Amino acid sequence: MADIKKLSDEELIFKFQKGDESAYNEIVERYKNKLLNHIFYYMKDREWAEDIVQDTFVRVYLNKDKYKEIAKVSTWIYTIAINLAKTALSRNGKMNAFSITGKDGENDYEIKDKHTTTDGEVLKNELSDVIMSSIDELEEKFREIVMLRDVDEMSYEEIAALLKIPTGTVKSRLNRARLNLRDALSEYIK
Amino acid sequence: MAKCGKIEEMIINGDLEIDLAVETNDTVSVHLAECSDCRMFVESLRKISSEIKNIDRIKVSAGFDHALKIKLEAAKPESSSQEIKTVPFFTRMVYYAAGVAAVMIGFMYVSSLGVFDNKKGNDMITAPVTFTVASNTDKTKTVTTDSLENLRENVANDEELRMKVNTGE
Repeated sequence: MADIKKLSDEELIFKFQKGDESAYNEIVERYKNKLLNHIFYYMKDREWAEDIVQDTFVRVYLNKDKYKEIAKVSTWIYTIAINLAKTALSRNGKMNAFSITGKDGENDYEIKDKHTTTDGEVLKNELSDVIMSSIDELEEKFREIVMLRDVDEMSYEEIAALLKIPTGTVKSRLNRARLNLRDALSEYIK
Repeated sequence: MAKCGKIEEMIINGDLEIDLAVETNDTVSVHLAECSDCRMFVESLRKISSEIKNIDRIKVSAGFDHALKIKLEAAKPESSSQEIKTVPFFTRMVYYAAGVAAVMIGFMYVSSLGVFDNKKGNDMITAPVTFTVASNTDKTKTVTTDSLENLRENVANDEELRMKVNTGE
């Protein structure tokens, strides 16, 4: 069981293809929070995002044999998740209704209670809020890349494969996005 | 906007990747050593990237794994057959034996009702049946009877008769 933690995603999926369900469970462990954070950006609703993430893992389970080594496992899983999220949003007519707040108007991120935190933590949380708002105000093509690169920590090549765009476009969009963020956050980051 | 703008322009044009160590580029390195505006600009971009990495993340709820398990069970196409496969061999044999015994008991019960009793069954013919009986004298006689008893009597009366039975329906 300790060894399974050391395996790469690709090795895990091949073990799972041979019937090892513990490999599948490890994939779920590795990706469930990452995917939730990413999909939350599409759905803006935590429960809904969790639903999509669960559906993604169901698809991974049922379609394990369709995975081929031509793509990275992360790219495959994110593609499934993003497609499910976009389909769900388009069915609900919310494809362009992005907002940082949840359905009830509350920010759904786990911001600590400011009354019980130190001044430094309050500033950090405030900065987190501002950064999230600024990312949310970016054009979708920029926001998506910032999320994939800085939040999900994907490589340029992985992002390019996932979004089906050239690596150069990924880099230029990311640079543009960061310049836009720099302008929006100039008061907070000096 | 940095006052100098040289590095910013390189980044916009895609000539420079801020994620990489820009100092590895000799031209950039020399410029950064001389230009505080561009140095601050590069630092601010890096800080944004690192702050984004540090933003609070959400985690799945406590019931996530359980809900996923339920969805998986519902979605598995062969879940029922897999359950049967997991039943121990001995238990499976008991199931099979019980099935065979049930079939045999059923057969014996139906048999006891006389469904398979030939003699009794033939006597139970009630619908009119046409028997065609041919003799060696090449004359064909047609007899209509409602039971085998009558037919047997006809045959007994003429031993040379060869019988063809045509039930008609």
